[in-house]
Amino acid sequence: MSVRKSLSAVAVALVAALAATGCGGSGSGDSGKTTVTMWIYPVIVDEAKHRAHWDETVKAFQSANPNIEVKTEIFPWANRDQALATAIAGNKGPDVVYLIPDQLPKYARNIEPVDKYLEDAAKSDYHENVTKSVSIDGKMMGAPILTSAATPICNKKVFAAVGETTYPTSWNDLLTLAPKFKAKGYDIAAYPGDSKQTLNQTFYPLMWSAGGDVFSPDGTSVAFNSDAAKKALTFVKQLVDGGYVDKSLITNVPSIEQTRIGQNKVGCVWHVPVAEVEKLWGKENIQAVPHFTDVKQIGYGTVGSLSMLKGAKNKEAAGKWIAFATNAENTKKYDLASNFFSPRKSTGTLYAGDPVLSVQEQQVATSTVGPLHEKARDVQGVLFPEIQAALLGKKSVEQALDDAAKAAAPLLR
Amino acid sequence: MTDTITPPATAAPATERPRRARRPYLADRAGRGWVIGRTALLLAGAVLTLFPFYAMVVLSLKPTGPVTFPDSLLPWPFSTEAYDQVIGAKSVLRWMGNTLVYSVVSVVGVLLFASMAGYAFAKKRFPGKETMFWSFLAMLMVPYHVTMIPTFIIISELNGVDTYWGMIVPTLANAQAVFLMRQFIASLPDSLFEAARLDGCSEWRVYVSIVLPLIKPILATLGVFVFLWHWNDFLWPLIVGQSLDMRTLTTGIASLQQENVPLNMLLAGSVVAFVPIFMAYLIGQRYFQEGVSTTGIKG
Repeated sequence: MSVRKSLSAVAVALVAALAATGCGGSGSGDSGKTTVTMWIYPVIVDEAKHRAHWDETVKAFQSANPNIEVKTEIFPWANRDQALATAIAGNKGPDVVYLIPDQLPKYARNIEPVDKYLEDAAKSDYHENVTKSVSIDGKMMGAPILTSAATPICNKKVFAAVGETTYPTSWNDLLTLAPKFKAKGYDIAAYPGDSKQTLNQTFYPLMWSAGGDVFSPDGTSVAFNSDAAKKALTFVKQLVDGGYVDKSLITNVPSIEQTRIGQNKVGCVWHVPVAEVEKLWGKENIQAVPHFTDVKQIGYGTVGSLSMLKGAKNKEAAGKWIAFATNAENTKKYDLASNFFSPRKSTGTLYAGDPVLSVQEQQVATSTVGPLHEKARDVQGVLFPEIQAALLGKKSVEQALDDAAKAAAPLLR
Repeated sequence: MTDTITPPATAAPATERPRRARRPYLADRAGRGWVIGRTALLLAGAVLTLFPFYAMVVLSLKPTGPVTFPDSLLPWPFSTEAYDQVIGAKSVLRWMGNTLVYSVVSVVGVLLFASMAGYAFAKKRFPGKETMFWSFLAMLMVPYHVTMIPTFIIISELNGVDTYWGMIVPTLANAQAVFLMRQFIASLPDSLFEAARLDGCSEWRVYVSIVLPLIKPILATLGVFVFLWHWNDFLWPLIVGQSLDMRTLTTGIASLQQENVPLNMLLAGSVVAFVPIFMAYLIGQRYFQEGVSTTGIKG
């Protein structure tokens, strides 16, 4: 083929492809119909089940609201904040989006509070700590649809190999058991120090139970250089220095299958979800235990909620959809399918017969979502390397936390 | 050199082929040793290079479980559970098609526009040429994430969100491609272009009949790289392709996975995304290698 012919073919292909613009994308709905778009993430791991849940819920909603069309898009977890923030900036964000409390302060300016779209009975049905975790300045920034409780979980197989029958209930119990585990070639726990983890699940639970907090009560300064935080970090350092945890995890976190956790060499962990170790340990070998105690009993747990963005084209329609999707009946269905817990009182206990989930379900009330502060994630960014420095012996615990507090101060101005 | 000494010509009959002197024993042994050493080194290099690919395939074909060395690198136990989940999604063919459209059309567009711009910057004279070229080149210094939101806003204003063109058009202005084209075309002799003009060729004819045939090697090299960039691209297709129907393979597979993806599933996804690009590499292998050695760019 001559060059000219090739070029013509190329040009035709290019124009044809670009003209295919009309092939993709979603236009407005049929005339007279309002479309509500919702972005959700793979909360239910099985994609077919997840899609079926929403298809069914949308169908039920539309039979009662024939003029409202609902489109649900399941987005990947990866880069979800970049995708959402960019879409909002371009005024192409969804009407409704699934957010967790960690994200709420960041998007607060773009979120329409949902209080007025939910009935009073529905609002009072939420557990008190759940409502608090999605509220900013007294306004609900999302309608909760699920909760979780990241309680510690222990490996029965490892405990049996060590000859230990009592499971720890406090942080101090871990230190007491640690030498026995080490002598048998096992680690009592694991502490991942890599910044890919969130401190909400690694260091903060220790600090909270020691009586500390991330921010001062008014939120104008950090509080993680307190005595409680120093006590918590000293505890982790004792585990590291004693050789009771895998030191390599402080700087690098490979996939769990490649760690001693996945290889059934670790006694208890408090940062790993049950679903992640289920196939590695065997469900029958998972022993969930209540949040560890020190000064108080507390641990991390999240709340998933459906929030409405201020750019929603039809707020009434979006509000109706949020109220319907998060009502008690639909919430219960969604939570059972995703192995999460209900944020509502009226749904009762969902997992009474499950030895693992029932323990976790009982801990929802003693779980916290972490600080609802706009700079919460930024502050984690400066705290991570200082914790690593302390654990690697490059700084003292006091020095590391004081340095982190100094580095965090400009972020809060 | 001791191992190339030949006897004097007079010492052998004219009809007899000059006999090669036997290498001294030690030198011979050293030569063999070098060959063996070099081969061993190359084999070790080949094994090291292939090992991650082998591990990717083998681990993707394992049931979910702990990974221990060396047991996990054996091909058994064998399981396709990860693939069932990755390619079991009913939209996977659609995603594959979208990825092909995104990659192929972008390759064609980038090559077309970059070659035209490269020709203009290399061989044409017009006011502000250098300023324009260096300004264009300055785009290379601006990180992609800085321009992402403004680009999205422009595409959004033009109603390009969730469309093929919205995904493709912003990637067509590729400063790196223009720079490479300009450098390559600048090395072509000016006399060719002068002769063509003397023969009455129009600019379009010069571009089509002189420039394009002569820049085939760089077109092929760049084509392979641009295809690779687009095939593996994640963030831009994620942001622009908002609906399920507009997902590419990378974003579609990611949406099937939980937050903490099991290793076998992660690797199964990598294999699925890797196979087509590997085929493209096999087809354009020569150009890819030439590209790495002559331009210094890497996939």
